[in-house]
Amino acid sequence: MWRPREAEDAFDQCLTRLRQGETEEACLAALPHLASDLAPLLATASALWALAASTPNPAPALARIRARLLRLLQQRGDR
Amino acid sequence: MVRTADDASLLERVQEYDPSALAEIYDLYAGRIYNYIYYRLGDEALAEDLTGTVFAKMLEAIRGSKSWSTSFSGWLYRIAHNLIVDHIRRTQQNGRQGAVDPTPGADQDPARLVEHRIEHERLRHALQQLTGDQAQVITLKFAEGLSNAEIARIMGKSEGAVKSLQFRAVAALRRILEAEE
Repeated sequence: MWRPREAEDAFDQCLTRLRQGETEEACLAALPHLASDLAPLLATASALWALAASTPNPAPALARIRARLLRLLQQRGDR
Repeated sequence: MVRTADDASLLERVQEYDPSALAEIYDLYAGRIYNYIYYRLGDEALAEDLTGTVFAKMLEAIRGSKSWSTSFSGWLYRIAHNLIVDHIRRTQQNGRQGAVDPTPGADQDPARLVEHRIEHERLRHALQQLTGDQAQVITLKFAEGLSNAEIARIMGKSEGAVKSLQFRAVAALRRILEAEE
């Protein structure tokens, strides 16, 4: 039986290790008593990172907002 | 990410209508705020619109001297978070569906792309069913790639609370996804 805090710590450590390039399998192998609980959570975490990777290049949008914002500042400064 | 002393000096210059200070502060934070919004809503036009609103509100607030108290970045994320919540509430009331990821490049396999879009839409829909804190911690961790310490500063919580919240948030998300299968 594991303690909830232990699972939270183990999950956090696995996230750090995955970010450093380790595989889910390697993380789970190091924590056999938690593996069945952590495996679905790590799969969900991987899906969440994949979602972040699908973000389009924001540069054109950011340039447009920047120009609008600077115009807004200028208008306010002229008042 | 959290640069309170530098930010304070930049914002003082913005209050004096210094365009270079505004440009500097915008360049520091706009990409992160855009990513934060896009991650939750999956709509480029909306992410652009709401990112612009966040910075317009920032401008309004610092001119009126009613801005942030502890973390400037945390304050910007809170504005973004509130705009996202308002948008989700409005679209749910109107029964509208969320948007999809952008058009692919020519090198992407259409079948895989459709699969990814469905998966992404499913995840975003599940994220909308989490509590505000849970959705925020997931976005800061997975979309923004922030450390627990940075998230703790932004959300005004301890690192231990962030660790616990991220665990419960991902577990809740998993349950929602499983219930929808």
